[in-house]
Amino acid sequence: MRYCLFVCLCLFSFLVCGQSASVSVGINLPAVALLDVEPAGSVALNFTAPAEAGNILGSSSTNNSKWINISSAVTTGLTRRVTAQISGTVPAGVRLRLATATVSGGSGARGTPVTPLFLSTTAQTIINGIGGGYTGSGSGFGFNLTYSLDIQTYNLLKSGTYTFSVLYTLADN
Amino acid sequence: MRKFILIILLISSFGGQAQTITATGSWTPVVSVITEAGNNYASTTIQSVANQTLVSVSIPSVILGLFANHYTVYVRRTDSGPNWNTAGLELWVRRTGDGAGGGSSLLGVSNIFGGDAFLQITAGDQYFFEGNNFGTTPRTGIPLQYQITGVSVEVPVANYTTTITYTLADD
Repeated sequence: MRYCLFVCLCLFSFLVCGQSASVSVGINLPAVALLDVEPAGSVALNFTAPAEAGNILGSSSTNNSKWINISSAVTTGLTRRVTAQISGTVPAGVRLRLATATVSGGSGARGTPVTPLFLSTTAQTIINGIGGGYTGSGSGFGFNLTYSLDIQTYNLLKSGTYTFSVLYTLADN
Repeated sequence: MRKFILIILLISSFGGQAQTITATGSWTPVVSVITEAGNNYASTTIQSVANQTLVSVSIPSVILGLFANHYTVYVRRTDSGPNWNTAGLELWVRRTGDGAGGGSSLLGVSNIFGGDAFLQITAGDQYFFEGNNFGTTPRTGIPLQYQITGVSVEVPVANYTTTITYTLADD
């Protein structure tokens, strides 16, 4: 009996016992949806007047000075798109063409541009499949935009200076 | 003689029952706000203060406190909600100080070592640090620092929470 007690106490004394304590750590990553067009300022597009009687207007100038910058954080499975639409009145007989280049800079799911399209007052998707990602900020980062004008109906053209806006929206799909 | 040994073992075994580990200080950092489109978070790594969690280890030594009682502390993580690693986040911990106490005897003084470099906390128990205590004096206020890496807009939006468990082993 004594021997048994002795052995039991020995075992108990040197038993490897585990005891635990806990703390918690948490971080909340919020949704992010930021879009910007860089650099600031307007874009001027012109048609060249013909130098020879009987000739058509020269081709529109193009402008590729603008870049779309995006920061986007989404829940699993959600994607976003960028739409573009004209705000204001486009001169009669003219269409505004927009070509969006593939993304440059940044990281993550920054989306894919669609093929060039003519803008209207109805929102149209120009970049789709944006998930969690960022493009980098400023000129030279993101999606380069190329604007040009296209004559749709020649007999509606009237000379003058016209101003209208293009509205870009980053929206959930 | 046997009675003497029996009494010593009895005393030491009661001491063994009193081993405890405590940890205080949770951490819920806030990510910086992105103010400029195109940018990611200002930093993909977030660090806590150096003493975000304070751990105390009480592990009475055997044989009337004369001999050191060696212990090891293990660490693991239990996520509630989204898995941190799958999402691209990593949680790290390191020991930034020794704390105080731990006792001493004619045969030595307490010590603590290991865990002073960042260790990624995983779902399974991992060795964190170890030490030796004497007598019944606990080692208290062992400071721990955390860091989260991989913070990015590329990580799915969610509230990531986890429980960090420190396990004391009297070995």
